Amino acid sequence: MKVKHFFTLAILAMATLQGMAQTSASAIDKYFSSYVEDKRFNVVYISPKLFQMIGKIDTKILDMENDAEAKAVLEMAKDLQGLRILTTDETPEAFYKEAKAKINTKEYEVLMTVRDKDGDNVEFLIKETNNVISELLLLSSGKDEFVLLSFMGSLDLNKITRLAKEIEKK
Amino acid sequence: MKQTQIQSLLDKYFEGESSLQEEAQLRQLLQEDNLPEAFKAYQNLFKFLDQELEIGLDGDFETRIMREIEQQHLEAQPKIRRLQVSWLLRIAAVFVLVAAGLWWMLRSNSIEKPIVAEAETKVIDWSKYEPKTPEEAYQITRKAFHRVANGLNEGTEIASEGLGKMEEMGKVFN
Repeated sequence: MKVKHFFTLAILAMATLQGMAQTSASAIDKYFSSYVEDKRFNVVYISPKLFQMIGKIDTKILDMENDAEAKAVLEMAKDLQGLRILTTDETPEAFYKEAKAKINTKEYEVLMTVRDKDGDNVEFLIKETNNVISELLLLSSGKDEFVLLSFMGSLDLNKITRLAKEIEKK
Repeated sequence: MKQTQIQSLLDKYFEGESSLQEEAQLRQLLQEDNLPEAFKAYQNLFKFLDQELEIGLDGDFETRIMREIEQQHLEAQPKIRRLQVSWLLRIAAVFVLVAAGLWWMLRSNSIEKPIVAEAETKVIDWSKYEPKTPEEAYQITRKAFHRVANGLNEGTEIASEGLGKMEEMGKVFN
């Protein structure tokens, strides 16, 4: 009887601990769910299923044969577990500030912050679990647009920089 | 005659000066039935003392008491176990308290950013925001990657410019 009590308590305690962990939700689910329902925002979600389908697109149709950039994009899309995009053209700078304040910096590490002289801001944040990047979050704001991108999945920074180089060539 | 004898023996007895012989004599005298009222009380007292003396241990007293002790011993065993469970409960209580403390700490951290705590509870149905075709999805993904790549390029460019400037400064100082 008492032993049962003990187990109940232990299970309760474990449930509390698990509740604290809250593992696989994306930053947008956590911090920006109010934006998703906000009519001022455009919302796009690409599911893992859709990424699989992208991989099967006939490359001829998209006219991307011999296109290193397209290849790099497809290569990266393979690893993705989901892409969430939120954009708005209303008060972009205010949203950028608010978004930065919302993100828990214990969970997300700033990879890079860029601010150019036009006042455009870009911030890369990553979430690492066991030394693997599990989420890449991009916040960017300019005069006319605020963008929030969240890539879920094991991302390879090398692949991203390869793609960046490919795009720079053009 | 008898009465005075009894009286003197009693006096001696209560003063603690009577010998064993005298006490035996007193006992014998007090056993008689037709004593005056004054000695009835003493008669009862000595009767009682004699009865008490007769009470002894029976032959199987030892086995009985040992049996009782063993039985108590057997009954005591579950009591010890109960104590162990109570310790487990105490440990569990400490564990729960620690967990609650941690939870509260983390919670009070997020209270500093109240918007976060509020937003965490909602569950989003993402499926309604999915593009209809993979081609469309590809274009969106490509754009998203472009944005990332552009951001990275811009950042590294500025960084390398900065580094270049630092190198120049280094040359000046050298």
